[in-house]
Amino acid sequence: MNFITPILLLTASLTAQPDEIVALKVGRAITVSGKDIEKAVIVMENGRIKAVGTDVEIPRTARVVDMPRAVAMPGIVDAHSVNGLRVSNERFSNVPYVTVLDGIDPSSPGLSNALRHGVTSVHCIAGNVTRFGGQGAVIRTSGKTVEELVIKTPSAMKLSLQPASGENRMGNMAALRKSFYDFYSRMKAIQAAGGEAPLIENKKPSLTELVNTRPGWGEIDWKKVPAEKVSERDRPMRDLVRGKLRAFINCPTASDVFKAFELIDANHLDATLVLGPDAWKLADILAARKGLGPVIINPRLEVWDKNDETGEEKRHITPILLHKAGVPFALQVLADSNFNRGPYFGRSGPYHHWYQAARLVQFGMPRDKALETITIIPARLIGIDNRVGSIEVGKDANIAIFSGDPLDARSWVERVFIEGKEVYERGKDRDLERLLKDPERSF
Amino acid sequence: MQRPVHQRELSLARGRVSGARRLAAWCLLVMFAALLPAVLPAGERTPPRTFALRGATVYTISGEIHENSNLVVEDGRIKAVGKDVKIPAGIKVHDLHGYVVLPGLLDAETNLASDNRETLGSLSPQVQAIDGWDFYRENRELLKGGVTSVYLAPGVPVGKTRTRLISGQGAVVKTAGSKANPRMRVVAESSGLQVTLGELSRIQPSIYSPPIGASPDNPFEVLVPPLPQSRAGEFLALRQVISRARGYRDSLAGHLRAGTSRPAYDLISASLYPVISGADHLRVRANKARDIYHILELAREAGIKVVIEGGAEAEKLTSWLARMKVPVIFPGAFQSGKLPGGDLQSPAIEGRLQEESILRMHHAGVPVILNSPTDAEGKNLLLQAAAAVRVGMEPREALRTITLNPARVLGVADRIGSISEGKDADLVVLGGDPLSADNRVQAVFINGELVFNRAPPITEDCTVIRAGRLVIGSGAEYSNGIVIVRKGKIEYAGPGLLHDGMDKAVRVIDASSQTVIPGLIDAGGTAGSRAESLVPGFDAAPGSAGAGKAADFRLVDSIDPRDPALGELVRAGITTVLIAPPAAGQVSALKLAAKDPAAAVIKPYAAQYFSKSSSKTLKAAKAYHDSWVAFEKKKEAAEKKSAEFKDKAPKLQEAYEPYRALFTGAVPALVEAPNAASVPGIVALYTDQYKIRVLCSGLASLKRDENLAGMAGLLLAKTGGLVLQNPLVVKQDNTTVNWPQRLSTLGISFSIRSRVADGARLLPLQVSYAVREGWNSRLALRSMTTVPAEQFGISDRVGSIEKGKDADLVILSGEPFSLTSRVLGVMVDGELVHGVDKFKGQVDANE
Repeated sequence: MNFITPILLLTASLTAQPDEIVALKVGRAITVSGKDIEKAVIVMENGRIKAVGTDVEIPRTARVVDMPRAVAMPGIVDAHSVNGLRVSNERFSNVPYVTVLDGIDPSSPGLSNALRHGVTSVHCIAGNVTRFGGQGAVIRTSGKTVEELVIKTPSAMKLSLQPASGENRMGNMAALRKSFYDFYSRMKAIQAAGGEAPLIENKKPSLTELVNTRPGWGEIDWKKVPAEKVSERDRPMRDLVRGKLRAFINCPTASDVFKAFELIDANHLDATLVLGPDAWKLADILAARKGLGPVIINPRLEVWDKNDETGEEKRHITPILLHKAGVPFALQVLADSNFNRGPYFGRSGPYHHWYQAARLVQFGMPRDKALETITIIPARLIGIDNRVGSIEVGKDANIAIFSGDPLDARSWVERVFIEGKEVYERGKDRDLERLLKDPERSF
Repeated sequence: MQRPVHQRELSLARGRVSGARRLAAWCLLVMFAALLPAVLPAGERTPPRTFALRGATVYTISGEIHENSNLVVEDGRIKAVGKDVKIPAGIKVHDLHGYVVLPGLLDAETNLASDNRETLGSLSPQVQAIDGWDFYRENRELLKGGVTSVYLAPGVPVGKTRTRLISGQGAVVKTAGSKANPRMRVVAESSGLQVTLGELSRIQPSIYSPPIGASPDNPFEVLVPPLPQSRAGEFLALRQVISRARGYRDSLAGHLRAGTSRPAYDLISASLYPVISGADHLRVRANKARDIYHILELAREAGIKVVIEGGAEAEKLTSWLARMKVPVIFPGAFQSGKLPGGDLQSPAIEGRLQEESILRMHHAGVPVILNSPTDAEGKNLLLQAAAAVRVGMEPREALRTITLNPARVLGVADRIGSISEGKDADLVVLGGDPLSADNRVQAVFINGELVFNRAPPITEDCTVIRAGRLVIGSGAEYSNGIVIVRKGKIEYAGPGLLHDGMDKAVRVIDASSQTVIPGLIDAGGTAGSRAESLVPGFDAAPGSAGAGKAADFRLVDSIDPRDPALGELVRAGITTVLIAPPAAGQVSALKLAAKDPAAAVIKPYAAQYFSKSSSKTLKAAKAYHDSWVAFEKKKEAAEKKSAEFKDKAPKLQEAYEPYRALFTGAVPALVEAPNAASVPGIVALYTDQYKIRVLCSGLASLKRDENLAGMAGLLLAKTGGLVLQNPLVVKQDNTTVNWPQRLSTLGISFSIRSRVADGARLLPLQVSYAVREGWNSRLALRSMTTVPAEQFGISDRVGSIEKGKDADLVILSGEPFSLTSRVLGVMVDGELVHGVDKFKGQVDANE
């Protein structure tokens, strides 16, 4: 009877034409899950990948897209973005019950720009200055209505250790803790109202121990606090503390990670850390932390640290330090605050996933590992790795076709398929035509 | 001390608070530490953070000052300290004979965790300062001052006053250490509940945000409760919150005892519980006597512990504070570059109590703590104690005000604040008396980790000299300094501890009970018996007929670098001689005992010497120089216009060519001035007429009844200085005249020359005699080091012990220019070229 359970909208029928079978013939396919395949053929049917390989039989009815020099890779996945939202933060910082679904704008230029750079799945989640920023959603980058866009909702809840304007770090943390205490207090009240005695303490505590006992996770028997008894506004919190709803915890500075650990441990959260530029300090701490999944690193991949005394500058490359320490991570790109122009648009470099991944290779990371940080790892973080993130038989046919190597700045995206349907073709990209005429707004 | 709120389930390890929890943390820590040796390379057998300090003077603060004692640190904690403490075999030992070791200092108030934004609510006891602290903060400045721990105030500072009535809980953290997990730097997650009384805490907060609709999660309550707008209001609010906390405690006690219903969780009351139960204190910022009075009243009435912070008018309540044993945290008196103004009638200047008042309160029995008046001043915490000593506090007591006293008040004295068994090995190493001006912090240990050392790390090609006293020549002096030499040059000179890389150094020269000074410079000599005999008429009166009248004559060319006379000078501590010709010619700077004789000449043309001023020669030389200048100018102009240039160059005249350097300013003229009367003439000719930088030398027949002040004025204003000739102390008209002393008093700095060959070895003794007769030994040292180096333009190589210069050092048995100080060793270009006693064995084989 738990109707808060994440709803998976299996909406393949909405986007793909079920009857069309497409056979892609490309010079090379980067599968991510396995080795690259030269002269690959990818057969897509019913929105899924039916076959992939060199000597694949092409069905007679298939539309053949033959691009002998092109390179196909799985559609790029963005695990943390405000892309597609009109406003990234709630005005009020404690809104776990808000959902980004109500804020998604399918006509956002951010989405079409994402498509133009090979991104097919985006995890849309509220911004970084809300204590409980509400629930996010995983969306496709192509669709006319919100319904068409959404793959998964709610996907996660944003918690942020960045104090909102007018507040400070210690006040923010005190307020975060208080929100949890208050929530548990309400849950305890529901538990008690049902005639259920609180969990029995084996030993009689001292007064000090009793004062020190805060309303906490351990005191609630969730079976006795069913969802229907919990107010609608508290239900997302109930999912959060039971690990049913993932927490994305924004840690803008290295020290905030310790506070995130405190919150995770005290409230049994299933959490993903979104790290700030100084995360290079944390490689050992993150590596030692048990049960920590992949993290999301800041778009600023390298940081220059200046010694005030000697004036000496030292470069720290966050992804390489994490890679060496064995901490898996997903990349994110810079968000453009100017939503009219769109985050994936114009400018260069860190606004694009392929560029960020190329920099990892430049810094010395193995190419396959670099590609994983924009495909399968973010897919895993948002729980859609069974559907996207690699070119494998049975997965969604989300494929980005580049004119050459995706990590080469001279390559561009020729075509994009989402769930078997061709959603982008460079030749038909009217906006691009317009934008290229206006170099100021272009690459 | 236990705190109800936010007992954190720490993810990795934790630093705090007491009893079982800390025990558990330490167990974790020990386990972690125990794992470490396993991953260390096989060569490193010593467990980490385990070592001994040998022979140091240890200020324990809690007890005696142990002189020449050993201190053993085991796994980051102090194991034992004392004279008779045995150093276990096999552990790393730092030899600290002559050094002083203090416990790490604790700054009892900083705002380092605040980020200048407000905390919501004027009553927010649940806010914790630790949440604002950046565990990765670099605190090099604080470490430089020996500050190993700081108190972090919650809330926002305005000046140094927070703007909330109850702004939250403070914390105590260490300033460095635990690089792998800086979270371990926490000493106390919570220490004291901060209360601010006075005008600032009554300011209406600027942020007021009503919640979005009413929701269970975000109830429609006034986020910022109405602030008390008066003193009465403030105390009403405090009383209310205390009685609310008591009520909460009582109903919980009732629940425990009689099974009455358990009250709903009250965060504010739970946060106040440690204070009302006496486990923690209320830390009250109050300056006005009436505020302090009312808070003491409240404390007595409610039976709570208070600590006063600020206390500008606290003296009025001395007897009460003393009787109640209420500690007061005062801002220290010293603020770099700032002299407080204000009213002499009032004991408080700029909201700060005068040092004398603090001393009187201290004598009356009020526990006194000194902190740094601003965060930027944190590095000068030792100076705050020194300022208290200046007005009469016992040095021992003054040091307590920045170590053990704050540790006790902040509830962390079981871990820090003094050097005693079981406490954290937070140690500050100094060269001597911690409150004296020339002893800066040399090294700092936190939890047994060397977290700061002034000296840079040493590489394998270094030679290290430990100096009991290091006089670097340019002013600064250090007790127990070190000099690091690499490739014949000085890499570092100053305070510092022998680095861990010490064993790597090629050689250590231990002069830890000696004085090290720069190699001395004879500002005019011949340095070489052979030269003296080769140059006829050298010992004749200056200006008399003789050889070497040519302008480009260089006596240095006749000197054999292997002349045994040179060794005589080296043994006296003279490492550089300015070789001057007898009558005319060029002065050259010669390094004695240089490794490579071919490179012994530092500067072949350091000055042009004139035994008497010669206007005729100068006139001709100037004309010759001008003809060249005009020619070059024309040529340049022509080249600019690309015009054809046909003029003929002036005829090259060997005799005048060397003088051109004088007119271009490349070298000074060194002109013999027999007495004061001759100086104006020299100045008129060289300085005024030809704009040549001139050095006067000699003054061999200076008379005590001459116009010395006039001469001094001229020398200072219009010349490059003076080179004084021995004899320095003379008898004139039955009166002893100490020329160096007389001239120094007149403000002239001068160099000293011997003007003899191997007899120059006695020049330092002559200088010592002048010192004994009343001159100043530091000025004497400068006249034989930095002054001649500057005068002759060789200060980039010699003259002081500073980074980048040649490693020319002299090891003395005692003070420089003390009559009995013996030269025990001499180093030239990083090689020990002379040594007696224990330094003998270290002299290079090539001598």
